[in-house]
Amino acid sequence: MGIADAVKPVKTLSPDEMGKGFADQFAKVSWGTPDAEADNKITVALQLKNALDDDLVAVERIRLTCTEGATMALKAAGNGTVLAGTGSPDMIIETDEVTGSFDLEVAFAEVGTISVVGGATQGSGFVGCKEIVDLIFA
Amino acid sequence: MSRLDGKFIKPGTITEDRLHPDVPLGGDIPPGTVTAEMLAAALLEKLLVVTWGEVEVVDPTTRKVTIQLADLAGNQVDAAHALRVTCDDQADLAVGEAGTALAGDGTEDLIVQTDAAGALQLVVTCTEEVVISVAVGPTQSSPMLDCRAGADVSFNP
Repeated sequence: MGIADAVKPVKTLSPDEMGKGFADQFAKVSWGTPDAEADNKITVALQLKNALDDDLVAVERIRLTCTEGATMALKAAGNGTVLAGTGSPDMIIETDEVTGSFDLEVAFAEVGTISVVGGATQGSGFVGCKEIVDLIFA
Repeated sequence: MSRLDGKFIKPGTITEDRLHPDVPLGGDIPPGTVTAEMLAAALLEKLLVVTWGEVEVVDPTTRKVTIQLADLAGNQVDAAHALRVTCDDQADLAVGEAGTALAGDGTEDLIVQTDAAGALQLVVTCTEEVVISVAVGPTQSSPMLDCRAGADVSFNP
């Protein structure tokens, strides 16, 4: 180590320096672009990301809730599993082990905006759920 | 105080919440190389992982299992923290010799606090010959918790 190294400021860790295994310990929920409304239903994909914002392939348990009046379910033949609450506005899901995604279908028979939000629940890991998706039913 | 205070490192001045000594100072960390094991203990213990011990058969309708808090590197964390523990409604949960029940003792939905060693002994009772799934999650005043691991407690003979 030369003198230049000795006088450098204390290192601050940036996300890019995280190893993938470490970054994969921290999941966050991201949402894709909602599909067009059809038969009073809109589908949208939830995708897990890691701390580097890369797609995270992992099974994660997440509680999904949405605006009252709408109901949620797994899209037909979609990725993921519903553990509880299908057909309601309060659902516990698991993301798909191969893709880390969950294909959500939201039904709402009126006109308005339905917001869907995720959250940690029993059996969750470190999962950030700050991102909300708004679905516009016309 | 001089305007250089805090800019340079002097021996013995790095606080314990900095990175592990194995992490070089000064910006020479290659991308993608930092692991949880390289974090200092003071940072690691803020990221807790729920781990489970072996299920102990007490009698035909009673089982005991211990939950232990660990950090991301797998080290035991000696700290009392609040957890929510739930299970199938065919069984009841209570706190045994380690930890404290804060609410719901003797039900399928329990709010607990680990003891000072980060341990909680869970007593599961069930009169049916089934496998009871037990899950942990965060609750009010919980720290950052990884609760992906659960326990399947068998009451089959």
